[in-house]
Amino acid sequence: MRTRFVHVYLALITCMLIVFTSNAAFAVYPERPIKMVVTYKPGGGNDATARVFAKYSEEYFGQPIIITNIDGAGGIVGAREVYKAKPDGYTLLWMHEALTTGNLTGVADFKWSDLTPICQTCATADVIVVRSDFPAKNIDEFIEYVKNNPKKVRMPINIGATTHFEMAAIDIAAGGNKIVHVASGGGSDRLQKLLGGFVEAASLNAPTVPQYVQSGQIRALAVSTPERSPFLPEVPTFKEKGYNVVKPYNMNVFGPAKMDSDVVRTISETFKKMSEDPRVKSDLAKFLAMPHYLDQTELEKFLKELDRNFGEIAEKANLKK
Amino acid sequence: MEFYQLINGTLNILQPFPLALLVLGTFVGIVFGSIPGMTAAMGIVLFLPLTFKIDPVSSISLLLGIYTGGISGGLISAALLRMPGTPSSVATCFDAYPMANKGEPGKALGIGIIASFLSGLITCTLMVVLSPIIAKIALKFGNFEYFTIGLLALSIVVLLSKKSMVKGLLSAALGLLCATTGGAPLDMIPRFTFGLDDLLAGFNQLPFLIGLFAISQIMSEMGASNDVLVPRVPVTGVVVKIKDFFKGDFRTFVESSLIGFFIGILPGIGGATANIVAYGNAKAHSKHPELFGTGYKSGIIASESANNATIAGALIPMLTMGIPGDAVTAVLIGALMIQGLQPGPLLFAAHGEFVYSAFAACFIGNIVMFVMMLFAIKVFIKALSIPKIYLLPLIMVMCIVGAYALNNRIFDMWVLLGFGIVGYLLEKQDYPLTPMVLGFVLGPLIETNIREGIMSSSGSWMPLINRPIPCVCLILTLISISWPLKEKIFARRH
Repeated sequence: MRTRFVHVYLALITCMLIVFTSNAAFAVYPERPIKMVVTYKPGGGNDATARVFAKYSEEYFGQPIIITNIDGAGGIVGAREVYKAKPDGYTLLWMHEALTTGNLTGVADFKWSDLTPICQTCATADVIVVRSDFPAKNIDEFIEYVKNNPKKVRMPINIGATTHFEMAAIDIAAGGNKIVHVASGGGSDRLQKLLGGFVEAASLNAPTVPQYVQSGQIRALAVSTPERSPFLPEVPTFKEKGYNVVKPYNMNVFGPAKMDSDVVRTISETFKKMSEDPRVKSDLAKFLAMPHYLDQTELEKFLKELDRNFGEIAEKANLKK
Repeated sequence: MEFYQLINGTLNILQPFPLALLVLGTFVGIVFGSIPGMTAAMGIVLFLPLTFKIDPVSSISLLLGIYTGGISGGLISAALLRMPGTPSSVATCFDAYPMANKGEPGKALGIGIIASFLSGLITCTLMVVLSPIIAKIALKFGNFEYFTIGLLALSIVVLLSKKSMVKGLLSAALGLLCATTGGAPLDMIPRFTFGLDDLLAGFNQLPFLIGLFAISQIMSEMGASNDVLVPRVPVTGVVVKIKDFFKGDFRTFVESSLIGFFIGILPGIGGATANIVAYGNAKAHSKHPELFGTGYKSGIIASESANNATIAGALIPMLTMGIPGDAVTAVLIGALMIQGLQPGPLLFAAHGEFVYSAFAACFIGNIVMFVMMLFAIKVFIKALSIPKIYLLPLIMVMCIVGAYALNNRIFDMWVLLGFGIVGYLLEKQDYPLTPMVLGFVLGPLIETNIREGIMSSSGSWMPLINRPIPCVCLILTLISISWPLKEKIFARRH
């Protein structure tokens, strides 16, 4: 009986030792594969950009990044999975700015600040387009047209997502309450609605646009990022034309709240190195994105600014819940 | 010019490396398709990283091989286990399994394979010849069109309700109810989530379907007295003569292929709907509707020709417009982009040879699938005739792994088991399960499209009547719903 007790005791000690040593080994993060949650189905731009970084992760992290697709509720289901995960640095989130709007419209019951923002990795842009038979030839004419023809222009959006805020900002620029918004799915659904004549204008991911411009089907009016898109250098931004429409489109890495600051730094610095790799750049270009690195403080500042901007739009367009 | 491109494309695929990959892909696809819980889309996601380093033609032949094999492989478990290997072969179970159970597994599979093969070839030809025109027509389909097509497809429910209409309708209502669970499709208002975060994403189609059909089947097999699922009988009748194949079913075959092709073209509706709708359609037009569900040839032909036809259909909007027709083509777009090819209006002009290689891969993939399936029949029948105390746990594990692998969520495994129990209880009480599936698959389509449609028409319902396609669809829906009434009235008169 006693020997059995000793055995159990020894076993317990061993277990505890393993637990402690593994904690001590925490200093050499990462020691096992990292799970990166992508909040959309495989195949889209979100997923593809994450996979580009995952491809080189073993070389830079010394451990593979495993892409895990958790789709649903406009990305919020996947984000929540990370929100609830252990903050050990082995569960990360790959997401664009929808995380900021989700809370404003009540889809998500948590904010981006309830997670640990780690870094920004790559950027792309949205462009506002119309079919080539639309009367407006440029963005000024478009805004003028919207002003003079209330309820004549329809735009497809995802309710509560960033495209909704983008449309609301354009609507405000044209005097408010002039554009009819039509709920729709993702980019391919919006494109289909535009080409089929079910909406008059749409916001599309800029890099996909040139081929349709070349084939003569659509016309690009303006991009909604602060700077012009390298994929469409001839298209002006809303900002330079004097309209207050800003909708950035970047991929960011988040982790659960209360992460170890050393781990955050390791992740952030590794992503920085990766984003400087020319192979990453050329791979990202295939998915119509480019590396764009921001560290933790810069990212926080960026997201706060975005919160303020989207908050204002939500106030004016009455989007708040 | 196009003809030369087609020949060039075919020659590209017939090179040793692409051809080897096509064969490999088809094999992988058949394996994934035949395992309940694993789908063609999963196989493609799994093999996607392999394509990063090879040329575009080879990678598309690998992926299209998996796609073709994956849709066709579902037949095997549907016929031998009464479990649809993929959502695209739900209706195949109804007649292929009874036929196999009567001692003719070879014939059941043979008919299914020929139906898959021929409809694959025909719809591939349609794709090559017609894709630019079809893409243009498909673009004209708006929300109201989708809404009414969804309604029309749902009205098939009245034809699928085997014995009791009330039970069939209840089952469809249950499916619609399950589909409304989670965040509402447009504005994410939570419905029936009972405060559970996990339910916010609703129920996924795969755990729902596999639970209803595979898990419930495993449960009822556990209580049955037989030792093996598939009786070990000499495999005969695999090679069904073409004349016998078409005997009395030429119309079924053509109609089902066209239904599958058409449903495949429309983004958002895929094989899961096509096979059931084609089955219902075949039953409605058959001279012997009472034989459906008893191991009737027409039933197998309808389902299997429709699901293979969706492949060519789904590829059209993807290649010509850059718009995915289903989950698989969404992944394929990503696969092409990593090769530096952007699917869309310029793909034909800029990479014509590649597009025709893809067409050729589809074509040859069908042939490879056909040959491989003919050989595989014996292997599968042998493999599945092992005692079920070994077989059932294995299938159960596969189902659970599949449900988890879909979204990497533990919750989906509970959904799978939950619907397994629901399916078991409903079957015991003689409720047909297909109406439930149809309600579940079509519910979101119907809801999303009518809401989006009303938004884009600024609240007007008129487009339902003054646009040609919605109007025709509504009339057809009314006819379809009143079909059983008409029969009753006629029966009374005679």
